[in-house]
Formats: sequence, C-alpha cells, structure tokens
Amino acid sequence: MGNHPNDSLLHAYLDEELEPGQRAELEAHLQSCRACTRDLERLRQLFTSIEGLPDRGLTRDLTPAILSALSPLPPWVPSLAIGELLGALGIVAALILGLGTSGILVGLSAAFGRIVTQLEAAGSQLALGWQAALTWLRSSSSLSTLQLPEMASAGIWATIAIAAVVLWFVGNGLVLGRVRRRS
Amino acid sequence: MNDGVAMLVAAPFVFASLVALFSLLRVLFPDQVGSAQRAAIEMPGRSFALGTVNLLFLSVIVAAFGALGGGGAGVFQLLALILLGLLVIALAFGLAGMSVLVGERLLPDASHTRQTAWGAAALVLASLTPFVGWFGLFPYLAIQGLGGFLIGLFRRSPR
Repeated sequence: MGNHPNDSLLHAYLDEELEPGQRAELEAHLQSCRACTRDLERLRQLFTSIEGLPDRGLTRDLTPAILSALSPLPPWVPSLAIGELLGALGIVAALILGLGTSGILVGLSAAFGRIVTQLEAAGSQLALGWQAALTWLRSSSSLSTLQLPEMASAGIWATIAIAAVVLWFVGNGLVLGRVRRRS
Repeated sequence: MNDGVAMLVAAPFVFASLVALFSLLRVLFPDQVGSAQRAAIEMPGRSFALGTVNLLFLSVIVAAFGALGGGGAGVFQLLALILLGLLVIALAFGLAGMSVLVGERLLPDASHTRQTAWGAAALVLASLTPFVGWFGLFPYLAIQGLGGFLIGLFRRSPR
C-alpha cells in the first residue's frame, strides 16, 4: 500500500470487514507509518467512547403521528388462482351451453336481427324521401329544366356517411382543441 | 289497453334499473363519472357543443352505415352497431355524471351513495314529464352529460 489509507479503509479495518490480503497490507503500512497509526488509534477511541454512551429513549413516542400522516393503503385486491379461474370459465361455459339449449340465445339473435332490419328500414325510408323530393322538384314548373343528379341509394348514403364523418372530426377538433389549450 | 297496463307495470322496474345503473357506474368508475360531472360544471357551453356534435353526427353515421349494410355489406352493419353501442355507453356515463351533479346540489350533506341515488331518481322522474321532460330536459341532460364525459376523457390531468 503506497498511499496512506483513507478513513473508510480504517473504518473497515476496525469493523473487521477487510479481505485478508487488504488487512495484511494495511497492518504492514501501519507498522511503518506513525501518522496512520495515530489516526487509527484516534478512531478506535472514538468508537469506544460512542459504544460507552448510555442508551436513552425518546422523550415522546412519534409512532401515532407518523402513522396518521401516512396515506391509507390501497384496498387489497385478491388475485385469482388458476383453479378459481378455471372454475369461473367452467361456470360461464355451462351457462352458455344452458342458454343455447334453452333458446335464449336464439331469441337474442332474433332481436339483433330486428335491430338490423329497423336500421335498414330507416335508411330505405330516407332514400325514398330523397327520391320523392327529386320528383317534386322536377315536377315544379319553374324547375322543370333543372337537371338534378341521379344517384344510387348506396352512393347517397356513402356521401352522407363521409360528410358526417368529416363534420364529426372537424366539430370534435374545434371543441376539444380549445379544451386542451385551456387545460 | 294491454300495452298501457304493461307500460304501467314496467315503468317502476325501468325507473329502478336506471337509478341502480347510474349509482353503480359511479361506484365502479368514480374517476370517469367524476370527470364528466366536473367538465359539465366547469365548461357547460363546450360540453353542450361537444355533446351536440357527437350525438348528431354519430347518429347520422350510424344510420348511413346501417343503410349501406342493407346492400349486403355486413361490415357496415357491424360498424353501425359498434358505434351505437359506444354512443349508448358514453350517454350512460354522461347521465351518471349529471345524476351526481343533481344529487350533490339536492343533498349536499348526504353520503355519496345517497346523493347519486337521489340525483338519478330526480333526473329520471323529471325526464318523464310530458313534452318538457321528453323533448327538453332529457335531451339537454343527455347532451350535456355526453359532452362532459368526452371532455373528461380527453382533458389532460395537471402534473
């Protein structure tokens, strides 16, 4: 050990935490260096005096104050064990089989089909209304020469859908953009 | 006659189920319902505008997709049903937020559960008022709640 040992090395020596090789090297240095030996002795006396101090408790218990300042623990959420998960899946499968055989699923699919049919009917009514409007406009004497485009109903609905989507994006962008800037 | 009696019998159950739905949404999703309520209070105009935009144009989009799906393109029907489902869910959260708002103002000293339940009851009963409730109050609450819910979804939380 060419250089003098630092305080952390001397601390480690006193705590007997050095490797055998490092300990031997330090002891060899201490035999030839009076300054480091003095430092080591001063540290040893300091540790001895600290250990000799009497134990004194706190004048007041801080536990209640610390516990009351702590935020409450989040509610315990039980994690599903594999067995419980398989059991739940089995119950769901049994319910589905039972519902299927009892015809409830048939009824639900029929209701779904009725909703779809009503949506189609609403679309057809609006398309008929557009055709009626076109016919009325052509029949008006002042507008008899006006050429109005003939569009297939699917084209009309596609145009309406595209226009509605564009307006939906624009409307949301205008309102939500101001909300974000305000935030 | 039978239809009228059936409606009278079903009405209390529908009323109770709506109150239970809004109360349960507040219990299960307090952040989402709370943010819808706060947005409706802090930005009533923008909530109403956003709700109007979304309700109006999403309804048109759903009708258009439904009509397009009638030609055999089942994907449009599926999209229409998905959009309709999302709209209904957003409306439910928005109305739950409005129920909380009404309940807090009606019963400021009551517990959260009582506030939500009584607020939902007041909201549903008032919306059943002929004409004024059907075509005035309920659309206003639905649009305001929908807009508040959407603003609450997209508004950034302060760091």
